[in-house]
Amino acid sequence: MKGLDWAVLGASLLFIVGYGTWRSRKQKGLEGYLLAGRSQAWWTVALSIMATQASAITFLSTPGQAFADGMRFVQFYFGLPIAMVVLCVTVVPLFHRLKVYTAYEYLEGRFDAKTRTLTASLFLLQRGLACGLTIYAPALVLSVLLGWSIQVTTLLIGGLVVVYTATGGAKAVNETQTWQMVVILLAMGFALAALLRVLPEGVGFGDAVLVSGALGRMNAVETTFDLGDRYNLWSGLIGGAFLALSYFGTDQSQVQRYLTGRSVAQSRLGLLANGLVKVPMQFAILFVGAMVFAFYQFVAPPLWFNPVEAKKAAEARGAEMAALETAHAAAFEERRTEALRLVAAGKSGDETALVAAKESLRAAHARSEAVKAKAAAVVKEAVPKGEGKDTNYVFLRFVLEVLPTGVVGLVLAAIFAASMSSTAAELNALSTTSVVDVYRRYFGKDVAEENLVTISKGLTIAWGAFAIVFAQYAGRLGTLVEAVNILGSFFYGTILGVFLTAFYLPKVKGGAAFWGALAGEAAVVGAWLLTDVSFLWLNALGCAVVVAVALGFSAVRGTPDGESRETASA
Amino acid sequence: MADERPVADEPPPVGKRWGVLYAVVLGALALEVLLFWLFAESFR
Repeated sequence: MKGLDWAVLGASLLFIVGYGTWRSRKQKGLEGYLLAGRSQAWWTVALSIMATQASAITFLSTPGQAFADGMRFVQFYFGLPIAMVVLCVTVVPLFHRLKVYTAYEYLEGRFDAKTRTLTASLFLLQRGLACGLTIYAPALVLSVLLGWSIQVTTLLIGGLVVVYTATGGAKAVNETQTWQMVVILLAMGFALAALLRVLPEGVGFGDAVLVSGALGRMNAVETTFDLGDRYNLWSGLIGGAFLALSYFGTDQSQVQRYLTGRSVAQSRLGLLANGLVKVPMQFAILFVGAMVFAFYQFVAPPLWFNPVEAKKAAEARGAEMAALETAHAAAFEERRTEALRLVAAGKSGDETALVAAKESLRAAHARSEAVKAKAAAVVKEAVPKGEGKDTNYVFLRFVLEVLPTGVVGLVLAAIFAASMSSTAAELNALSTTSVVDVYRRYFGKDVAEENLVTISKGLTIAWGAFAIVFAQYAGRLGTLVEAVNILGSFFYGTILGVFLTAFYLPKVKGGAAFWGALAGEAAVVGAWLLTDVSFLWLNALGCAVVVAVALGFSAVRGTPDGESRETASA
Repeated sequence: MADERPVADEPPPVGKRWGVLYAVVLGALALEVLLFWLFAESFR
């Protein structure tokens, strides 16, 4: 990190935080603080939605994902535009018409207070813990690669976010997210441009794509239907649409973003813009990862990208790691020779030579991967509490060691921006749900608006403090971190089931939905404790049980007179 | 919950119907899938 990098990083962060705080200084009343006075234009809504979804770990991991597994992860986003259209038709006009602050508030009008409180509580529990991890994950990567303590990186990320989110509320979150997205997009553009300039002499852009493609990194679409394959066209279109519907339709951190739109039209346009931009944006980020992969076919990569784990492994298993380093260097040289042969074959236009060169390169790559697998096993034994993989460190290590001064600072600013943007939206949503669905609903019906705003600010600080403290200790919790990640799948299915029942089953009433939700949650916990089902399937299970039990309960008890007031078709 | 005044369904800024914009978004998705598939096949 040079002086220019520090200047770019510091100026970007200070400008974003300062601008957001200044722009949100005139917010008045609870609606002004929690929903930016429902005044936002569609482009602010769109950038805010994108910035909320793009957390730093996604930003760090996505290029690493392409490096390790190719570009097929882009298919995960194919269902998102479909979900955006469905939400525009159903949820957006409904929430605007009811002028709700939270998605859960709608459930009281549709069902009853207990169903609203149950879903709001599930959200608070899940998102409160996830918020700590949103800070912890990038703080860990940054601390390892910059050599800073984890306390400094968590406090820096969390502290800045709490300051402007508590001060300016939703307006500050939206204003900062707009510029955070600009920094993220600029950084990715500059990183890609700089990457193409650092390719070795004689290796052009087309050559890099050819080499990357020969080793399976350009696999953007897989049409084979396979339930065991996580990313293919069909799982992306169907599973991805389901996941996006639950995330954008029922998670308050996203719902709140489009509730700040000044009209149904502006909120809809924000969601549709997200639907248009998201897939190409993810493609571009993955493409950067595939190009980093191509770069390391010609320039020797480290044996293990996480420098702290590599050092610990070298200390604990010195002889083995030294032997692996030698084997790694030899395998790289062999692979580089084959990669250059493929480039020459590509330029010659000789189809037979091209096919032969691809086969030779794949064989050399397989030998290189075998060395890497052995290194992974040694690192895992030497660092039992380690991450077990180094893909999260590939992109940032490449940036820090290879990219030119200035771009390094911009990319680091983008990582901080991504982390802060999603954390801010989470804190904003946690505070809003705590105040609207819990405090005002049960204790503060007669409390003045000014006091509710003060309480909202206090709760933003409280949730921020909780997230920072949780982030400080997350590393020491070992397997609990994985458990917290899985925790999301414990609740998402149940919450989605309640909302689907609310939207599309107008004859189902509050009692049936409430018992359906409890049954759904019990089924999820039971399946987790008693079976070996993968946690991703808990989403579908919870949702299905909620809908089935709610329908069954309604059939047995009968439907009371009159249909519910507000469904998606209303 | 706040009042339940009806919200006028404003027309979109381009075109007269929201259906046209929805079709554009879904059409763009179809085009992206096709282009990405061609891209993947070209460099396999």
